[in-house]
Amino acid sequence: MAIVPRSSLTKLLPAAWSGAALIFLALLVVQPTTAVYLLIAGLPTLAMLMMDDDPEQRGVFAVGALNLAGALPFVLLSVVGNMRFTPLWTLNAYMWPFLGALLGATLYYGVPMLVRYLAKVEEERENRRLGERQQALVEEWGANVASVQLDFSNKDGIR
Amino acid sequence: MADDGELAEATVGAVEAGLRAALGGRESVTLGERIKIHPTQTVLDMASPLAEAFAASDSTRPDTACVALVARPEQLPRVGACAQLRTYEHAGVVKLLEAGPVTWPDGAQRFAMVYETPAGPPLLRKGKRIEAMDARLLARMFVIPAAQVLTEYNRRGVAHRAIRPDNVFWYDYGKTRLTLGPATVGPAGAMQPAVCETLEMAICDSYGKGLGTPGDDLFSLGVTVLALLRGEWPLADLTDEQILEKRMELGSWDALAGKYNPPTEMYDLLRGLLCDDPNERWSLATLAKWAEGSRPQLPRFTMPPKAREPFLFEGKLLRTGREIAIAMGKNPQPAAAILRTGLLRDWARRALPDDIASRKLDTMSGPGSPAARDGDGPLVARACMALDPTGPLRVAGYAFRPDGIAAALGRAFTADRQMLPAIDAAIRAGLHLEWADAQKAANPNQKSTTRRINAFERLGRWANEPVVGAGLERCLYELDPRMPCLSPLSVDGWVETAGDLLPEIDRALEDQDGANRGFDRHVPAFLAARVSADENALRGLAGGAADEEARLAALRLLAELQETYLVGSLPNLARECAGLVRPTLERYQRIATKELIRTKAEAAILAGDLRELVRLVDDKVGLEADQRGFGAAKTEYANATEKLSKADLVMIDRARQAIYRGRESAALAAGSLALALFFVVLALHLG
Repeated sequence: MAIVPRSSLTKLLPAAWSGAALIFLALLVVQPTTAVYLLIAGLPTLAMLMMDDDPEQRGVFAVGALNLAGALPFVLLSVVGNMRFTPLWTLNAYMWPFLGALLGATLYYGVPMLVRYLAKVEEERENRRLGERQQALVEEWGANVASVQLDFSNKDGIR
Repeated sequence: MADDGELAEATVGAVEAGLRAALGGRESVTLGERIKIHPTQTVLDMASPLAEAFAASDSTRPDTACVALVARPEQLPRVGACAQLRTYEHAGVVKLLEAGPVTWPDGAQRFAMVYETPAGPPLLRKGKRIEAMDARLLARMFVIPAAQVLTEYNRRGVAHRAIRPDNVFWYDYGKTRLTLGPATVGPAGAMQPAVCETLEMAICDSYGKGLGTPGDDLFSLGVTVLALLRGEWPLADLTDEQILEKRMELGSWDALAGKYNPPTEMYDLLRGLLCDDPNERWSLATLAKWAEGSRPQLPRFTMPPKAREPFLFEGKLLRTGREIAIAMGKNPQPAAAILRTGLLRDWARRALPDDIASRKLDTMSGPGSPAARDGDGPLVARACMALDPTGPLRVAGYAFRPDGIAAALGRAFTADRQMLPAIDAAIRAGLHLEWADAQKAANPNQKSTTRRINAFERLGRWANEPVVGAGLERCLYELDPRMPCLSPLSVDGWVETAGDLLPEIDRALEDQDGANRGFDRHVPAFLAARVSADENALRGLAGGAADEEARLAALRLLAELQETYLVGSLPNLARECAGLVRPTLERYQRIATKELIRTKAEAAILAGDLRELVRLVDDKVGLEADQRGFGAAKTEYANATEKLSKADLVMIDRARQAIYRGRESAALAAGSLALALFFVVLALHLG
């Protein structure tokens, strides 16, 4: 899976939001109850839109994608399936989008924490290795190996 | 006389008892592999002020009686002559069987020369009388063999210089032949009384007679023949000074023969040998012709020209240049005073038959002349040289010939240190070179060896250079390649090679205290002469404020000598040099390498192995490897330090990166999952 370059993703955002708005308006005209359901089911995404400080709005993308994925089966059922089914009043139809949003938010906030933790462990291991290597060098060559020879040849440059 | 004899016997008895105690049960000391010397059995007939004499035996000649002449302390025998004569065997001279240093019962090393014992005591001691010998018999038994011996000696580059009536012995108990006694016991001519010497030699100090020539030996032979013909020493009742005065006044022939009328067969020989003019005196070739029966031409007798009027000096009226030179040489201060007044120069112009001396005295008195510059000693020496060109150098009351300056220096260093300033002044003023020129002018036929001339030219440099290893000590060892080292630290040893010197230095270090390290001037001078040691190494050896590089050079020199001469353990020297390993250790950085070097150095010091110490100090490959490794380690340590110092910044950066990548990953994962769910739902719906 190719990673979309940051600049490209940022460029695509206005078009995506415009497209989504157009689809929503069209749905509002054709299936008003479904549009209302989608609005209510997409509240976590809207909340994330307001909270996310990421310029590329990857939080919105993560929460929104799974939020929409949770709502989409009910939208499809109401639009092209059994017209008698109205998700607006079905409690179950809200559970899945909200769970999807929750999963997206968990991913969005959890994965960086995990990566940062792993990086920290790796860094501490590297620092420990360097410290031990320095100790070994001192034991092999004596304390002089740690001495820093200052170069005063260009002392005029020192201020 | 009887009392004296008893006293001498008692003294000898006491000495022998002491030696027996020192030998501790052993009866002899050994020289080489075959000679045994018996220190308790003295041979008084062969003893002299230069050497004691002891019975000896040669295991390869059990039937031959031998006598060992052991040089007394402070006496320096002719070691070089020993080497030349050891293989020579002739009935006309006692055979030298072996020579070399021996360890005497008192622990000191002394130089011993072992000769075949002649049959009987010296033939004619001074003051004694024997039956006058028959001329024909004497020619056959003594003169002809002696002439053959001197010819062979000359071929070997040695003069006997000890021919006198009390150094002639019966060769056999049947008294069929006479033989010359030992020649090598002391410096050439040191024991020769004035009566047996040419005038040129008789006016020298006994240790300053030079190397000697066949001409000197032939004159001595003439005196000895005269004494044996008469049955007594000539002029036996006069002192050396009186003999010299009489010979200068009358000529040696008239003075020595006096009223004695020699046999016809010997007349030519004696006249030919006892000629004062070295250019007229019979040579070895002339003597050989005489021995073959021909009658060589007799020399022309000319007395040195006398002055038209005498010169008054120190209350004496003197008539020849030589007389004045002798008197001035013995009284240098009044002589200098008179020279500065110009009285002598005026007298020489007025009274001497030729103007050679006066012209030389003229050139000496100029304001910028070397004589005016060099001081009183050289001034008097130059004046004496002008008046008596074939005489010795006369400086500060001493009279010595520069061609034997090594023996004079040896004497000066061992027994007469007051002579040193005189020799030093002579060399510094270049008098030895002027003397050599004077000899050449006086005797144009006389040969000078190239080696001697080269050495003469270098003498001034050796004496004057203000560096370690120079000075009179260097002159001594350069001029005589067999001269033992006279350093006080080898006072009990006989040190002839650099290899012999190392154990002596080692022993001396054991005795010296820490604050008084370093050696006298003899040690560096000896090494400079014998092994051409460089000045840096000698400076290091001299101790004092020598820098590390000089001390390392000294260690390298000593190690090389230890290896070359296969010298055994030198623990004290190694301990002394241990300090030199410390800077080397400090140059190394790797702790394990340092420890290894320290361990090896300690082992080398315990084993007294200087070569191993040098190997440790000079291991450039190891040092370079260590320095390369240290450089790499420093770089690695610095890089690690830099990384550690930036760890916090790196951590912040990595956290930022983690958040960015994590969020991106989360978005992609969520997107992918949503897409997958969409397709699942789509598929279920369509299905």
